[in-house]
Amino acid sequence: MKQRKRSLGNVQVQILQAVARGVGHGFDIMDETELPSGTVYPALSRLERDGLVKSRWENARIAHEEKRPPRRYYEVTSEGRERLAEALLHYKDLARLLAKVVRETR
Amino acid sequence: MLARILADLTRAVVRTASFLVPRDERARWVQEWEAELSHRLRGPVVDTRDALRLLRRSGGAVPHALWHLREAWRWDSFSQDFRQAVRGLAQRPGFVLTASITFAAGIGAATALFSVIEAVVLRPLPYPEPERLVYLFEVQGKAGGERHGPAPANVLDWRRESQSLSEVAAWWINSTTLLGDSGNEAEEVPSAQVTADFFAAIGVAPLLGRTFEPGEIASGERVTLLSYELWQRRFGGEETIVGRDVRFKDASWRVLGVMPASFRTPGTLEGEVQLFKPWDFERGYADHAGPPRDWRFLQAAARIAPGVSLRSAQLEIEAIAEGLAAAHPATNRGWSVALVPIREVLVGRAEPALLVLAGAVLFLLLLACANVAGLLLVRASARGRELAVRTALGASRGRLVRQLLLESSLLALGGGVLGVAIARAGVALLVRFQPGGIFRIEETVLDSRVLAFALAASAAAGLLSGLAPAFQSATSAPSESLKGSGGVVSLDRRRLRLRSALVVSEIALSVVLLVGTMLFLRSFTRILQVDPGFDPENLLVVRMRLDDDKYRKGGAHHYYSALLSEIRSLPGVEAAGGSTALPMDSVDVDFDRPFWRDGEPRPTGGGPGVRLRMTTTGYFETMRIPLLEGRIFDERDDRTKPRVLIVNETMAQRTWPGESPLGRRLVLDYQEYQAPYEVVGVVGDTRFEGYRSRPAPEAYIPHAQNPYLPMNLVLRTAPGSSPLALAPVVRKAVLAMDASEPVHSLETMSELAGSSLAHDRFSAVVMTVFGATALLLAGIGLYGVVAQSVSQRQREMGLRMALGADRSKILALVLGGGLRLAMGGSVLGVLGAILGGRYLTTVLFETSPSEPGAILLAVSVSMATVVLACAVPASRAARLDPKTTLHLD
Repeated sequence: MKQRKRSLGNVQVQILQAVARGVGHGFDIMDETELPSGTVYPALSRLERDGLVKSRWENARIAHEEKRPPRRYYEVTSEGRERLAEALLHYKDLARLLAKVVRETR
Repeated sequence: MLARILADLTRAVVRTASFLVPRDERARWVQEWEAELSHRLRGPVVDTRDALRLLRRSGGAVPHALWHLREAWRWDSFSQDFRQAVRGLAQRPGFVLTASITFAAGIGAATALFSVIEAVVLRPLPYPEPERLVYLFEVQGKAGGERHGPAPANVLDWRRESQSLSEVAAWWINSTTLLGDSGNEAEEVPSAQVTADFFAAIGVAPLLGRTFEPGEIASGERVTLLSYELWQRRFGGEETIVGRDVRFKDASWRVLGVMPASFRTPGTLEGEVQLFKPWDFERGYADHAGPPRDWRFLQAAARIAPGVSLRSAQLEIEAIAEGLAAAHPATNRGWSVALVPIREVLVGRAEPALLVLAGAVLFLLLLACANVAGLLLVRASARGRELAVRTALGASRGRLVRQLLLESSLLALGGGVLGVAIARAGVALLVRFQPGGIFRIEETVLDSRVLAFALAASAAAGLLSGLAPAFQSATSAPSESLKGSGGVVSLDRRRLRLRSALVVSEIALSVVLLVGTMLFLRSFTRILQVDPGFDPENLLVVRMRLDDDKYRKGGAHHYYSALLSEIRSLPGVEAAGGSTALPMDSVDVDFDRPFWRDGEPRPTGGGPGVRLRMTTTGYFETMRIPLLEGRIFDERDDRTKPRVLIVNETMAQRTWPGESPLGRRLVLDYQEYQAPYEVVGVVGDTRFEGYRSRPAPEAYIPHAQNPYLPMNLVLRTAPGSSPLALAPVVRKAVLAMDASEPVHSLETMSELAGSSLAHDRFSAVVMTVFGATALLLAGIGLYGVVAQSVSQRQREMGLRMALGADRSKILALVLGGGLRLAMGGSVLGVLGAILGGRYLTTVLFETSPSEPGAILLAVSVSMATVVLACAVPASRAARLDPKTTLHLD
């Protein structure tokens, strides 16, 4: 079933941006965005469900060497990239608009 | 060290949260969290601060797990399941029909009964702050004695002395004749004489105009208030009615106002009061020695003052009653007062029967659920492979359970819709044939609350009946079903066990209901067997009320004796007579007066009472009340002769035990004279208050010696003829006597007697419907399980037959299986019935709730049903051809 296209929330944009920069593991994304874990993980799961990010498991050999299970690595999909670009464009417009409003109220 | 502990704690949090994650996602979910944690915790030394941070971070596992949980139950997967469920059900219309009808029977019965309970018990009383509104009764002896309506003078004293009661009101329901005018016929309507506080105590303001003012009441002005119904019906709902005069038989009365449509006069069950007239005791009893203190006939209610508890108000009123008993020992000694919350007075009588029926309907609903659960189990075993394939293809168990519950809920919802239709019809029947005397039962409607109940009942029934199959499929391994017929046997054996358990509980529930039905039927039969003490067939009751000014004193006697001889000469009339009060009749003038044997002192505090009624000649013959001793009244007994009396058997035995009362003299504290009466006859007892009532002491006074204006005439017609057919000629004869004195009402004695049976007939009929439905459901359930077991054991049976078992053995095998289940169910059911029986004691008439006869009958009926339900599959099994069955698969 096709998902209805919903505009991305603030949090999702931050996370998507971090993932797009190559920060792919859940805990690293928290460090990067300074968002709490209770926000990041559900948002990641939602992005994955909506097809904006995809995940793969880390090479088992590396994990084995470090004596831990393989980590999950998230990447932005092409649709995610498009949506992120749209959102950033929207933010830029917003910023210009805000700057204008601030200038005019001075 | 601390860091280690914190790390362990962190892992524990994640592991605990993982249980929220749906099973098919769980492993990956745990791995992701574990990997991140291990990655951070790697290396021999971990900083305590880092460990704390990780612990805080692990808190995020809970919302994350919850997200997955929510996701699993999300709408689009739900709607997918929904479509699948609908598709699946649509393929089996027969199954859907059976299950829906089964649900409909249970939900319909429950909804119909709930709508009655909602109207009678749950809906708020039509009075503001009903918890402060209490009825006042005089009781003989301390609390718990027989309740009597209070006497006027006592009500006045309570009002004067009580601090904890505000607004003490009294009223008396009688009737008023509205004279005919353009477009309307003369008619008699129920009316109430009310004291000044009445509307304030009840707390309902008029819709139009105003209520009485104290001055108007004291001065005896002719002012009146109308009910909404009368205003609409007779006065076209015109607002100009306020201030206008309306003609009653005695005079013109000015209308002060109209009460709202929702207003109900407390304590009227036979028809709403249509008119209110003010009543001042001092004025009303001016021609007596003031308001009487021992004529206990009023209805009275009061409001408990704000901040006062019922208990302290009760203590205060008891103290006042004690004071009155000391001041007026002749009339008040031994009498106290009871304050009874209005709710208890209005609803109390109906509650026990409704509770019993509610219990019965709950059982019926459970039975329906068990039945559908059984049907679903059959279906689940038939589609075991489908479910197994779905599991193998990755459907989680939760998803399968959800799907099964969804199916049963859909069935229940369908059943609920059908059930509401049944309830609608049931409620219509119920309101039409309602027993008089259940508060507000005629207001029963299927409103939004009832529909909400039906929806809730359907949802609960759907979930409940879906549980067993859902549990079954959740606990069975898919591989077993996929293995084919070899695997199916062991799986189905477990299913069969579950089904058998369901059947046992169905039979148990139906036995409980059947025992209840038998008890109600027995109780009702016993009531029908009660000899009422007279012959109620072929009697026409004609109510009359003569005008006071015209027929005061002797006039009434001459009028009635002339009318009666006129009536006796009518063709078709075999006998006729009259009495101020008739058995089985709730609208009459009936007195319960103190008495004592002549020569003995008057008992203080009232003493025992006797019911007095004035009867004309011909009354006992017409009613066929047998004469046991002495003579009945005849033309000799007029005002010029000594006062005579006829007593009933109970009165004779209580007053002169072991002696003949003939020629004895009795003093009656009745009206202004306390004259001795000579007993001239003894007649049989009547069940005066209805079939359930015990005979009470009664005494009859010749109407000629004590003429009375209101009378009930009785006419006996030939057997086989309809008494009501005489109504037109009787009306004509009455108008021919005096055109201004019409007949007030006409009805047959069988109607009166029938309405005294209405409560019990209602319970018996409803219970019979429940019991029969229960039997049918249990029969269907049993049939299903036996038929399934036969079809699954075909090979086994074929083998047995091949090895020499004959058809009777096979028949016995199948029947035995069914009977074993039935036996278990019956034992449980009988236990349940005995345990639950104590709730029936107040409802049953001379019938013990654990009566062996009723239990035996119920068990036999249920066994007969069991044999019937097993007979078809058993005979099918006996006809099996071993050659074919052994080649199955």
